[in-house]
Amino acid sequence: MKDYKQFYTLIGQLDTESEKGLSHLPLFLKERELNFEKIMSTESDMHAILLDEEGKPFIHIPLSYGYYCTDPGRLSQLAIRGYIPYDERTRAVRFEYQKKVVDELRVSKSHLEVTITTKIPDHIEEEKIQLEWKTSYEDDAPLQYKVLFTNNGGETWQRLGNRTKQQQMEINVTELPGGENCRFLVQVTDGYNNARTESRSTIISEKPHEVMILSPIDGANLSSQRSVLFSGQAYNPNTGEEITKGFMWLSSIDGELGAGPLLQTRLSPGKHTIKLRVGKSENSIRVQIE
Amino acid sequence: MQQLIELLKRLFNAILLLFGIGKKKPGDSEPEPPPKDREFRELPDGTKLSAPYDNDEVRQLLQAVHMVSDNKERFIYDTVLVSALEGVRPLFELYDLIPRIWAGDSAAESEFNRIISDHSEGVNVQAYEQKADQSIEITRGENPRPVGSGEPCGPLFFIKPDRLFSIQQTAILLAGSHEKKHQYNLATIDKLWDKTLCPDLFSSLAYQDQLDGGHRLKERLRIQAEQSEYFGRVEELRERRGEANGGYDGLTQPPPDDGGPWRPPQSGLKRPAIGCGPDDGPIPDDGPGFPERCDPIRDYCRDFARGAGRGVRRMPDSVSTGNIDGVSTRRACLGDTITISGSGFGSLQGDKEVVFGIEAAQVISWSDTEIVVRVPSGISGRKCIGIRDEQAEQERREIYEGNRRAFEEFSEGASVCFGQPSDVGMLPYRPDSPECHEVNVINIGVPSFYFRVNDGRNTTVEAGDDIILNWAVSNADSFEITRIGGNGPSANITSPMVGRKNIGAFNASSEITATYKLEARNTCGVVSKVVTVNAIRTPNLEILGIEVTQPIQRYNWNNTSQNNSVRLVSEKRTMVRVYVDSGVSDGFNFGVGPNILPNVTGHLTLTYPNGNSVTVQNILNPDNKMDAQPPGSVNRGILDHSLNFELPVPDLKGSIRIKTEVYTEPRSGDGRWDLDSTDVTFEDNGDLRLVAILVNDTVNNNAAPTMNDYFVSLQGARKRLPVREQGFQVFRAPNHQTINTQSDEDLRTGNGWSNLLDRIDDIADDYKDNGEIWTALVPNSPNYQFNGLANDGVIRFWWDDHPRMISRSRLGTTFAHEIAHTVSIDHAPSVNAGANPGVNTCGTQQNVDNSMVSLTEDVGIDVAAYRLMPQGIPTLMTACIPNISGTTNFQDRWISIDLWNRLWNQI
Repeated sequence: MKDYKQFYTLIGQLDTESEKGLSHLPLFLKERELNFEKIMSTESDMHAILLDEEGKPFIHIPLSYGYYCTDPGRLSQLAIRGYIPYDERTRAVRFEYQKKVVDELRVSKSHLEVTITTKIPDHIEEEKIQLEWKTSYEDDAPLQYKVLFTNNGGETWQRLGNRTKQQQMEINVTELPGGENCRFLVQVTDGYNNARTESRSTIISEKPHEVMILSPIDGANLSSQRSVLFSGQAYNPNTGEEITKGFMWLSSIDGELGAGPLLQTRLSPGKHTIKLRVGKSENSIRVQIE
Repeated sequence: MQQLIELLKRLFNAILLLFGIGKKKPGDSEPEPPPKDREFRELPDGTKLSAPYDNDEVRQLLQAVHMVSDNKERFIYDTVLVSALEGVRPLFELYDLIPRIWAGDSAAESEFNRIISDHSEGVNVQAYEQKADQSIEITRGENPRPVGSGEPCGPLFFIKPDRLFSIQQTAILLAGSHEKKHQYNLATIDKLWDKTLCPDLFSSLAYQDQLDGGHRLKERLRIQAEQSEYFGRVEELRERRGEANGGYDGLTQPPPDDGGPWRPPQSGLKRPAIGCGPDDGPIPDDGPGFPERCDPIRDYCRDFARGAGRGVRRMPDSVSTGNIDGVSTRRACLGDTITISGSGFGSLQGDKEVVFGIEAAQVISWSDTEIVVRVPSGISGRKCIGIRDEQAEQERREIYEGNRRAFEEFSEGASVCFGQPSDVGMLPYRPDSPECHEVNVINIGVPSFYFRVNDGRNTTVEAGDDIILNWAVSNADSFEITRIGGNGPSANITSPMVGRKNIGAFNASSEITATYKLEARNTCGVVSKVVTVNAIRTPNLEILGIEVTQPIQRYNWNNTSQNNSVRLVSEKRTMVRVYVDSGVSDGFNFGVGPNILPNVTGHLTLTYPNGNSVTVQNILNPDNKMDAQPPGSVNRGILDHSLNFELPVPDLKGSIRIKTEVYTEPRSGDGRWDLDSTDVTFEDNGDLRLVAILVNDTVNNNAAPTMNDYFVSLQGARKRLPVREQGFQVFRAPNHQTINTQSDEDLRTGNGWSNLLDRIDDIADDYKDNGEIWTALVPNSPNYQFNGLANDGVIRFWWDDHPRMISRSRLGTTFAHEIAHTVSIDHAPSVNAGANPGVNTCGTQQNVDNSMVSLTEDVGIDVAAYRLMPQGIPTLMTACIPNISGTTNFQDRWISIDLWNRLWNQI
């Protein structure tokens, strides 16, 4: 079997109670390390079949499917998942369920190319930027784009916003992790053919630690006869790293309550503003003790 | 010093002259003495004295014993302490009588004499005097004093020498000119003082322990206890509680309500022999003792005290009664005039005075055969009349002054015992009082009487026990005892003047009070007093079992094989349920219903793997207490049928011993406390990383929930799933903290929900996968098709990388349900609602795992909300609505043991 490195993620649905057939999101390509042999050896009565120039199938890929779990109720759509390898021979992708064709995707021969047109500054200080790009494509198939972002020179990427048909996206920089080597990536698909481009590197200021108070709940009414469980968390949004030290709990009435992410203590009656301080970051809630 | 020797010589001469002359004891016909008063009383010089045992010495020793012992040991050690204190009880009682004697109370004098007489058997006066004569030299300072002082050696004397001096002086005062009585009194007191060895030792060891943190007292008590019959029988004795007064002989028994002197409870069980060793034998030598360097000081101080008593010079009588033949009346009111007849009074009053006790009366006329006086004000009760010779009285004062000066010299020696020169306790002067004869006794004022019910003024008895009235009326024309109110057996007693009568059983089915009144009258007036007796029932409070539960647990005190078998997660909210048997089964009502014992509280002691212990009093029951039921009525399905504690979450790791103690206040009441323990293990389990996405429903114009809504929703999972409190780690996805629904994501349709969940998967696919569960919260609109939606983990989607779910905001149960799906838990099958009272309705679902349990197998607890989740309600993974006490809410589904175990393996 060919050693595939790039795969399309298939996210689709099949309505079993109608003749609508398979619907799925346009396929974006991504490099993955998959145990493809294991996938291929899995039994399924739903497959993606890659066809060559002559319309001959050259690979049958088992797909997984099932109903999403509702609470409560039932669904008529089967959720379909699968990884379809990129193979340059592919000219069509056929989907079969219980040996019936439920969809077929024809692959365009047109060349696809995308270029970022927005000039990215050395240091982005604005709260929002408008990222724009242009595409070169000769076919008339609808195109779909997605924008990815890295704050560590491409070591990890994360999606910005939704898939879009527009050739621009407003990006809220305040929600982005900071770093010295940030880049934007625009990827385009015509349903099967993909193209991508990356922006130049830029600097975005690092964001403070994200501090959360899981309990007590903001606005809670609690009894002074019972100890209160203070549960807090924090992480570095720039790295995703969890913070476990430097937690300090404070009350507007009782003063310093104690340290650590988990604390159990009693509060005096009254309206407290509870503050959790982690390093230079903090969050607060209000509770009423009766 | 020469002065002291002179005094002693004069004392010796007086002894020879007065040998064989004594004072008469009160006659048998007198009313019983008034009850001893436990209130603090003051001597005329302001010295404060206290009643037996209710004093700092006992209190401090008791505190020291309790500090070094746990409850089981305390049970034993208190009994050892009781035995030791019983030996010195007479000294406490003698000391307590002194203020009353100094106030002229002839009944107190009689009691003092009786106590000494009761303990004089076997006293060797000759041996005592030999020792005492040697001791005098020490007291006078003729022998070298030991180096140092008593202070560094701590409390070498449980009863301090100054108190002993007070007792000695009183004994000497009451002996008057009676030489033999004087000797026996002092020898008897010396013998009683020898009994203080054991409490001396205990308090000395407690002092040493206090200085250096040692455990000498505990070790000594252990040795004492081993040699008593209590040792090794604690469990047996405790099981027998209720059979014999609770089986508890400890000092912490409450004192009688009537304020009478404290007595050890009559348990019917033999206490260890009085004394330091078994059978009152010598002190065992294999345990900690007095510090060696303190022995000389101790010996010196004992000699010193003995010699000081020996050195007190007796004082002659100044009041005579021999010439009195009679008085004109046996009864008089204040201010009345009475005539004293006799002979040899002298034609003139001269230096003589007529005294009623120690109070002088106004003389109206005086002749050789008849004296007319006015009854002095401020006195009452039985008084003896005498004629005081002022010259003899003056001589007594001079002798007293000599004694006092001698005592001042003793004080220098006392510095060794007290650490600094001090007043070693010379009592103030007290005038002589007349002896009592048939002819000189008169009753003054309104009647006096003694009235008790079951030996107290305000007593308690077990319901069904007899009520016994005890009275003694004097100086009265008539009296009557009647019952006030309708409780208790009736009484209508008008004679005799002194009596004791069992008026019958106090039958009561609840705690009620019977009240009896004695009213006595004479020409001076009417007096009355009431006594009360409370009917109680001594329960037998007992711990049936200790359940340690997170959201669900197995427990059955009748079949213990599976108790606490549901695994516990580290650092998760945990409740301990202590099931308690009231120990009452005869229908007695403590005010909250038959056989129910109210106001049971308690505490836990947690011992952690590192050996550290903490006490937990975080009780969740209303007002921190519960009503204990009889065992047949204890219902695990009722939250407050157990005493419930919340454990300190941050410390719940590894194996922990939970020692439980339950009791009613005060903690030491008979049959009203119990203890038990259990061992449990808190195990680590996996954490869940959650990415929180808030969904703004632009399609239906419903605003996005907040992060606070998210935490409310998350609480549903935190309280149900086997994950530590900190184990739900929440992150935000940059640029996807809040997303808008798209046109194909109409949440009023199932397809819209599916599309939204697909999109979340698509977003997640473009993030680095760290094993997060993508959790989206949509607005809580009743128009939506579902409460929640999730992918089914790896069971059906065998190469689906991104666990993800959607839940309507603030539906905690749905949130927990969907989280369970993301770790590959399917739906539980539906059940027949009609056949299961815990189920209201049931729907059908896809993705059902028929091996899953549908109804909770046992009682659950929502610890955070302090709510009981009944057995037999639909589990979290069903599509059923529970029926809990008539309320139905889809969000009341709870976790089953089956699901708990499945999740434990999946997370």
